[in-house]
Amino acid sequence: MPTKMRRSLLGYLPVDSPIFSLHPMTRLLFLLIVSAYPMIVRLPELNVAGSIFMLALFRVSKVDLRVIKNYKMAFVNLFFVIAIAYTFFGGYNPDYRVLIELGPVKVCWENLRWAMVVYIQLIFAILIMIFFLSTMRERDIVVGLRALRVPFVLAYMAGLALRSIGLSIIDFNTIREAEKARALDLQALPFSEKVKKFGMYIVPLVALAIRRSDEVSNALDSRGFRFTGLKSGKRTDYILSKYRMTKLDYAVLAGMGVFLAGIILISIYTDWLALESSLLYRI
Amino acid sequence: MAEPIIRVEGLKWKYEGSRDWVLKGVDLEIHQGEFVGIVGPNDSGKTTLAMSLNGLVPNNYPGVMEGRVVVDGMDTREHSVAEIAESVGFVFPDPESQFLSMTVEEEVVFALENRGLPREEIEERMWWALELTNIPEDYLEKPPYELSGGEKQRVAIASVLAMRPKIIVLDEPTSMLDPIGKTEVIEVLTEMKRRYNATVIVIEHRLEDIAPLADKMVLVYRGTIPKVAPPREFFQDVDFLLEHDVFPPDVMVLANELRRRGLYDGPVPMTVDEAESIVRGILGRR
Repeated sequence: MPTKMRRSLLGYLPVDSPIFSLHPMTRLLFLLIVSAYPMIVRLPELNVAGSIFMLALFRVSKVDLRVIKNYKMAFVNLFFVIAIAYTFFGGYNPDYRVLIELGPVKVCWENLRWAMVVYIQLIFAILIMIFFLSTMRERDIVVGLRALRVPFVLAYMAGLALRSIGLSIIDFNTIREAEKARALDLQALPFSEKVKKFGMYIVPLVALAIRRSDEVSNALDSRGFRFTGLKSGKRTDYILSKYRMTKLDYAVLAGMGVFLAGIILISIYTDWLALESSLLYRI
Repeated sequence: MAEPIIRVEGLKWKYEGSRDWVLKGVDLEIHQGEFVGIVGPNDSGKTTLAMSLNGLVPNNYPGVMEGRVVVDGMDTREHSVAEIAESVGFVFPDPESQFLSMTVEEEVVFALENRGLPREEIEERMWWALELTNIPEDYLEKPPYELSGGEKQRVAIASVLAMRPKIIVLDEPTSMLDPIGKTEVIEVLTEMKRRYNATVIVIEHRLEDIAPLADKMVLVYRGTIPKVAPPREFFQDVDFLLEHDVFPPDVMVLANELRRRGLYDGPVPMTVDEAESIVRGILGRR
């Protein structure tokens, strides 16, 4: 029997994924709390451990790991951007160990080490975001925000913004196919021509976006939606009422909170999480 | 006779920047519970007339308006679209353009949440609308964008039906659908006619499907309404309709041809079955 799937912001997820046993608010707070870890912790070993933990979470939540493959070029590009940025603009100190000299540019170990530290931090952060987008639906975000007492207008706008990204990608592909059918293929053109002809994509894309916003506005009015600013007025939270916080939610939230507090306290009162504790600094 | 639920008086409308009036002094009365089919060629002003019934014209489109439209006691110039939506549900031609949520369930309850109805009532109305439009329970969690064309339009209709408006306006609800989708939507309209005693106004090109359901047919032509009549009377003069770029169903054209040849003198048939019995009658006489 085929597995029933549920559409997420970044793909599909089996309906029996354990992640769905958590309240959308817990999943939303997961993004907010766990995203703070790589921002606080610079120690590469801990961020590598975090990345491995995220991969395990992908597996446990039954997220298709192929979703990460879609971003492999982004990971590679990110590495080169960071490496180049730190190599050429990382500064120079006479204490630095020079690995290679490329004309006036000195490639130093210390700068490369910084590049690696930042890159590993970003990998952890990106994996958290991919996991979030792979397991959340627009509905979950609206419910999560409403559970956090965020005004409906803001919650709905957040959901609409996320959806509009997807719709714009669909529109862009449609325009690209239409342009190709009329013998305009940007991929086959040199870079300067690509830039010049990009307007051919942008103009219809913007026109479509304006038309879509007009249609959404008419549809909202026709369904009796009244813009009441940040006050939700008499609106009923029917969808929100279908979700209940469970002991598991409280346990996960407590675990994440305690871990975050622990990291903050350790980084303030000890040097265990300092970069000097890293193996990279012993090389 | 009872007061009409919709009264259009001398309605003239011109979109901003346009030199020509789209509607050129339209008068129309529609009564509670009537099923009205609006027909006419493209660019005749049907959609503008439909949008004037729920206040999108003049509230959401800039332009010049003369005359007035009173819907369920509300002058559309004095009430917002959201206020008029309490009485008028509107189904757009493109089902995707009217979706506001990413699951069928959210879509159907969206307007009910806006009204602040109790949860139990929202639930009851949702199931009622889904049942009327034949949408299975396991669609609730699906994104409406991923359904077939007919299913999408059924979800759109269910979302409007759940509001239980006194008036439902459907602007070419089958125009963007494949033949199966069109049939699905027509089946829903038939169910609405049978089980939901609202005023239903349908702009539709599939006359063979709408004519048997309608209590009244309205012809819109170049911004005017040259004919309003019950379906049999409306289709009686086929030549008049053809002159106004409306192509009646084949059964009516057949009856017209038989009448022209002096073989038939009765009322115009609305269905294939009625046409069959007319033909059998003629053959039987010979």
